[in-house]
Amino acid sequence: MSKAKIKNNGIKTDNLVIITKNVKKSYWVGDFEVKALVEVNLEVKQNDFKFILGPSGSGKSTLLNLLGGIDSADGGEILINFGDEFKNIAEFSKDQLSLYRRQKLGIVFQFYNLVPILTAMENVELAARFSHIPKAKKKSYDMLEKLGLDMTKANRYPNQLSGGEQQRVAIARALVKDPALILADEPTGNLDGSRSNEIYEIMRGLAEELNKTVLVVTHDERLASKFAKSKLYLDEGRIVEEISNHI
Amino acid sequence: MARFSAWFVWKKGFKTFTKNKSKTIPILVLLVFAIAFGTLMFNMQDFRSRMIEDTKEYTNVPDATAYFDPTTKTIIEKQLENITDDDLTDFEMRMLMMMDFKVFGEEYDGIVIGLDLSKKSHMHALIDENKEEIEDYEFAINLGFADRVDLETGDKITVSYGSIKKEVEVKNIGYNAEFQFSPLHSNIAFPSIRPYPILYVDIYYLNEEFLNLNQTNAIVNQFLYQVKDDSKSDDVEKKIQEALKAYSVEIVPLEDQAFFKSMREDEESDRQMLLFLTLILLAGAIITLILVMNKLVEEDLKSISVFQALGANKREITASYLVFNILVVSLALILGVILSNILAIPFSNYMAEIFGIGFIPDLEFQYMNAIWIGLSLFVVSLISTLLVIKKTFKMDVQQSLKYETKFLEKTNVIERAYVKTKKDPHPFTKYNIRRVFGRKLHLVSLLIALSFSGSFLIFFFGIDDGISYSLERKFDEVEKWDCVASTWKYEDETNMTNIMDSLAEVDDYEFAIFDIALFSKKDSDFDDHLRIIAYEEDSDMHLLEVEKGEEIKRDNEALITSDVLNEFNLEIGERIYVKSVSLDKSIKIKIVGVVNDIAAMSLFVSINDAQEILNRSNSINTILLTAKDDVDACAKEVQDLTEIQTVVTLESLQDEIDFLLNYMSAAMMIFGLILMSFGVILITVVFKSIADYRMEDYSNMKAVGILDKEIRKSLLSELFLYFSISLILGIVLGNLFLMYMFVQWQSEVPGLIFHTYPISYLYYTLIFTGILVFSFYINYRRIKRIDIAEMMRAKTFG
Repeated sequence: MSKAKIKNNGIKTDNLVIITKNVKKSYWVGDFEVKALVEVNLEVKQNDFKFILGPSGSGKSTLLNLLGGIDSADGGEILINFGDEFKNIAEFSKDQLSLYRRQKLGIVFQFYNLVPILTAMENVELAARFSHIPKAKKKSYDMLEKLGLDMTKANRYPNQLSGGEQQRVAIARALVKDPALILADEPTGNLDGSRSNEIYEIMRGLAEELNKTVLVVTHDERLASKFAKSKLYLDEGRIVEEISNHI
Repeated sequence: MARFSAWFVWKKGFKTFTKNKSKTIPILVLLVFAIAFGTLMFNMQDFRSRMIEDTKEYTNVPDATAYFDPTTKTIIEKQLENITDDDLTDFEMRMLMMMDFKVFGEEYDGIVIGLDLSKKSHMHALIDENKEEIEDYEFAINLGFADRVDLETGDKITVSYGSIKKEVEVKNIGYNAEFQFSPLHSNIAFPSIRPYPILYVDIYYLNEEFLNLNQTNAIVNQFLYQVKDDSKSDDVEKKIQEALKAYSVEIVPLEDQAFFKSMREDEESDRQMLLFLTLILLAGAIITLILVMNKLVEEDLKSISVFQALGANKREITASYLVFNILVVSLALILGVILSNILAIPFSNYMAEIFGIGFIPDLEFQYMNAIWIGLSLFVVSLISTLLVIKKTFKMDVQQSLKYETKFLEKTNVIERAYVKTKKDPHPFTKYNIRRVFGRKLHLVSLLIALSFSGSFLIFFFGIDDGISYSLERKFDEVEKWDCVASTWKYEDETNMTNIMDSLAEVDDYEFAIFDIALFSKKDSDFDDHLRIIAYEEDSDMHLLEVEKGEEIKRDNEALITSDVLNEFNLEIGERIYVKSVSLDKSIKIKIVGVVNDIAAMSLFVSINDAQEILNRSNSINTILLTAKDDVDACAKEVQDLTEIQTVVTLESLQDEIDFLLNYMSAAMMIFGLILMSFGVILITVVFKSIADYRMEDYSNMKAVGILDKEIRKSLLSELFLYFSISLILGIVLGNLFLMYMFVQWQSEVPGLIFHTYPISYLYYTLIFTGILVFSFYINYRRIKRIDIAEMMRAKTFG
């Protein structure tokens, strides 16, 4: 990611990766409108390890989905740093969003979302091959190894792995294509405390080693306090507080 | 034993039904279609019997008709006095005469029937569209002909008999089946069965105006009767035969009348075809039902385990699916029956039009058929559901989650081959191979569904083609004459030779004999009729092709059509006895070969033998002709001869047959369209079931960055694979069905050749491709519109 100062509508964007301006999103439950996000303005700096916190229904996952281009905003701008310029992904077509996810993003889900009929190794390689990473197989193997997966299990299908192992595969899949930005939605929500710590330690270590910007959605304040560089609190679709952690 | 919770069973069953619209609706559509058309097909099978029964009832058909030489009415009355008093409930005498008609400037051969109009009601009654007998028969004309030439009441027509010519005004139009499917000239090779004019007049008018006879001396030549006791109809027939033997009487019982005979003869082949179509519909519905139920229950696996954990027992869970099945099949049954009833109306109209019936038969809806179809579908859906549930009960929740990849335990052959040949296999290709070839049930079901759908098309194209081809072959390769003339009576060969030689427009001619004879395997019990056909030796105008055995080389040898051979278990080399209908003397004939000439129940003999059998030495009754220049001029020149009854040109015969073929093609097109739309639904549902399995995978891959065009490319390759296999299988299957159908038909119409034109394969490929692309597009659109966020949420909330 370029460290150059990029101008965007007069805003100084030093080292920024994401800027959101008045982002809105509502859902309809029957005749009832649920305002998931109300004019969210956010800036994410490069190499940040940012935790988005808040109670259930506060809009955390919705925000992450909008940033990942897997859901569309009702209004506002979502500006992503594409090196030489910021682009508003809210205006992207489906194919442009797919390319954005392919080239710039790594996404980790709470339930891993691995393809069940591909092995651990194939799941990681699939993402690498879609992104046209050279030596995809070797890099996938190395990434799984780096994430501490018992490599005798690399050729097992997801359901033959434990939850922690599946999450390592999911993280490896997100990291293997060397994305600038990693989005993780409750990545350890399905795991016990010790495994959660282990996963976050790996993510934090790799993010620092590989200079990645990471946004993590969680409701676990304890983990956020332990691993976050910065924290963002959401409530009823609004940002209520932003804190910088100094670890 | 734990208490059975009916509340849970109903609630779960009902929820499964209402909350799975994406699965329930395709099942419903398919079941409704199968029930509606299956029932409709069964009901159409009853159409002919209804048509026969209604025709008998409404048109007051006689039990038999006696034809005899024109005789004074009072004489016939006297001859039959005892019989009419003792054995008959009703009878009627008529005078039937063949006359020339001129309608709107066109000439037609037709019949004028003289009726005793003092009678209020008649046998072979003319009925109106409300199935009521018309009130006035004077100058009434048959509906079939009126429809053919757009004749209406008030229109003027000319009827002539010899030099007598009368212009009459049509006063009424009505329908009966008396002359339907009955050729006007039964002794010529290719009689027309298109409706010809039949005019009803007062018998005394007919006698006076055309025969110059006074009113008290009416001449009749037909006696129609209804017997008191059906069991004695044979005795009555014999009595009438005996009483009128001096007047060359011939009695035709109702069952031998062309309309009823033709209806009954075709009933069996229709039944087989309709049954075949119904079975195809049901088979398709069952395959898809199994697939969709499989997917539905598999998706429900987790909730089954959860319900078990919460205390629901196996009986309750099983019963809840029973409720689901009952709900689906019951709703489909109701909708199917409604649709079938709605469709029955246009179908009945169409069938009535095809058969030329002047009324719509009172079709009774056969509810039992619908119930049987519904019940069998219910049983199949239940069995397929229970089998999947049974598997589920053997697993705990953890195992049930692993079920998805059970088919991956062993690498399939295609993947092994792909990995071997490819240095750096792409995981997405491996994914596709596993999805396509891993689940054999899906692959086989899909290929069966596709192949069957394809075979439907080939089947209907092939039927049309086979019949057209057989007739074309008959006209192009066998019949080399321009027109055929039939004489009023047997004519002396030498006399006819002199006459024909003197004609300026005739290029060449050959004599032939067409007649009816009786035959038996032993020299007694001559109960079976055969058509005797005799062409000249080494005929250049009728090129018979011997299929089995050899040509006729000497006297007392014959060729025979294969239907006779099969029906009477005859063999080539066997000898049969043949005799004239009116003579006792028979001759022994050796069967030397089989010839299939689109003529059923026929025996081909030499002219000498035919003359001997029929006791008509040196006589013939048919002349095949080629014209010097102008066929019409030649036909007219021959027609003008007093010896000649009628002349038919080959071209006009082809027109007649084209007319019939058009009707048949339209009927085939309807069946083809039904099966094709069924095929479209079937393929779309099967594709949907396959797409359902992949939705989550594609959603996951989209989150990782796969592009729509990459998915489309892989799906198109897959489609191409299915297409290539099923296209070929469809051709093979379709041709097998066709062969079966033609073998069945050949027993009735020998000479019908199974043949499909290459252009039909092109049409088939185009239509089949269209259906596949359509079904593919529908499902690809769903995949393209996957809401990843929604899928992730669905995942989150299990």
